[in-house]
Amino acid sequence: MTSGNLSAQKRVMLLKNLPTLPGMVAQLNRAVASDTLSANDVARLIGQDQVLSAKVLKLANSAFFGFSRRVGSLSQAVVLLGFDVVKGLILTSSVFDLMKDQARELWRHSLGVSAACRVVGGQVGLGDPEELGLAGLLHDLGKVVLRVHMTQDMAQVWELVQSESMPVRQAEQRVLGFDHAQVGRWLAEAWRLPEELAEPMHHHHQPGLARRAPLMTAVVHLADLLVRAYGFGDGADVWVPQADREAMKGLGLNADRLEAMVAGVCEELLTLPAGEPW
Amino acid sequence: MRRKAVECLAGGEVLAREVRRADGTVLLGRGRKLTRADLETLRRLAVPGVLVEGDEFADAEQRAAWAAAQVKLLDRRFAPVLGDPFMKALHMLFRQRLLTGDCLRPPEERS
Repeated sequence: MTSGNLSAQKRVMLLKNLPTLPGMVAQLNRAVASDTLSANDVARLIGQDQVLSAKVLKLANSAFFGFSRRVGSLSQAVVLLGFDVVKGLILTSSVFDLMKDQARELWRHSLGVSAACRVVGGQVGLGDPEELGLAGLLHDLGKVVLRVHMTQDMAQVWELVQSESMPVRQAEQRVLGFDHAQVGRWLAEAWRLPEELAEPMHHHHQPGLARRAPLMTAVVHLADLLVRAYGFGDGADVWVPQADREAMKGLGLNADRLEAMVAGVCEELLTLPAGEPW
Repeated sequence: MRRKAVECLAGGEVLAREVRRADGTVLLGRGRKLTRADLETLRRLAVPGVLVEGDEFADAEQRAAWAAAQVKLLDRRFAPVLGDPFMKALHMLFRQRLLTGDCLRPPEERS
């Protein structure tokens, strides 16, 4: 079999096995799109899942949000936290439940990139911190899928990374014919995620290719690089990658901003506990 | 500075960074010496941990050795890209923060 055929076969196998979008997120997306959503509707959906209900209430009562009174009901939590935060929580908790036990360091890396995205976004005056944080958290989802569904291939990838000092993406392309960023795109398409999340998943190594969300993708690119520079968690690569010059220009970086970003990211990473954020 | 879980605080620690609510308002300011009442507030609000002054190292020598080891790892991570001016500047910024001891995670917390 040619390597092209082999790659196509692996791709088909992977596409068949992509994890499904948690049903609740799909329902939430539909409800938001149809503009018929009320906090009670969302609360009812969440209430069908005991574990998730507990997570939402725990988050609403955490100091991060610091509401002055105890949040006792799901509908109250949804109103206070907002739909986006709740949706992000459902999405990430479902996906990362897949990987936490077997890829703790990748989980930590993703948490770190999420925190760094908020710092970088704040410095360049970009967007909603929650959305930026979510983009950071999800950027390496393709790696999660590969680790779960292509165990043997990923062992070969790791062997190449170690023995030939090869970047992970390059090793993935050599072994599979595609890489985790491409898998991230497939997953984002299967889940109908918005381009603000899909493009960073697909192009965080090559932000210049992003068309619909270039700044968001550039933020994730830089945040990934800063977290790797610090050495927080492990995205599997040994070295810090080269920053994309055009993307850095697009973010309007200067020496003062960069220094403030490094300081902010270092502080944020220091505050992150080893466990779950909620 | 170092991160300390709220349940491990005894009172008397000095905050190295303010504790904020999600809306940005400061709950406890930087430099505040934590009182028992503050600890109660942090627990009530389920704050997992705070940044306080000081670090986990037994003495300056142990701390310097750890920082030097971290700098060595940092240099290794950056080695292939140091020819690029932007990456070189970034490397220097991280290096300075490690050498001055800012944001140096203690050994058991480093990956």
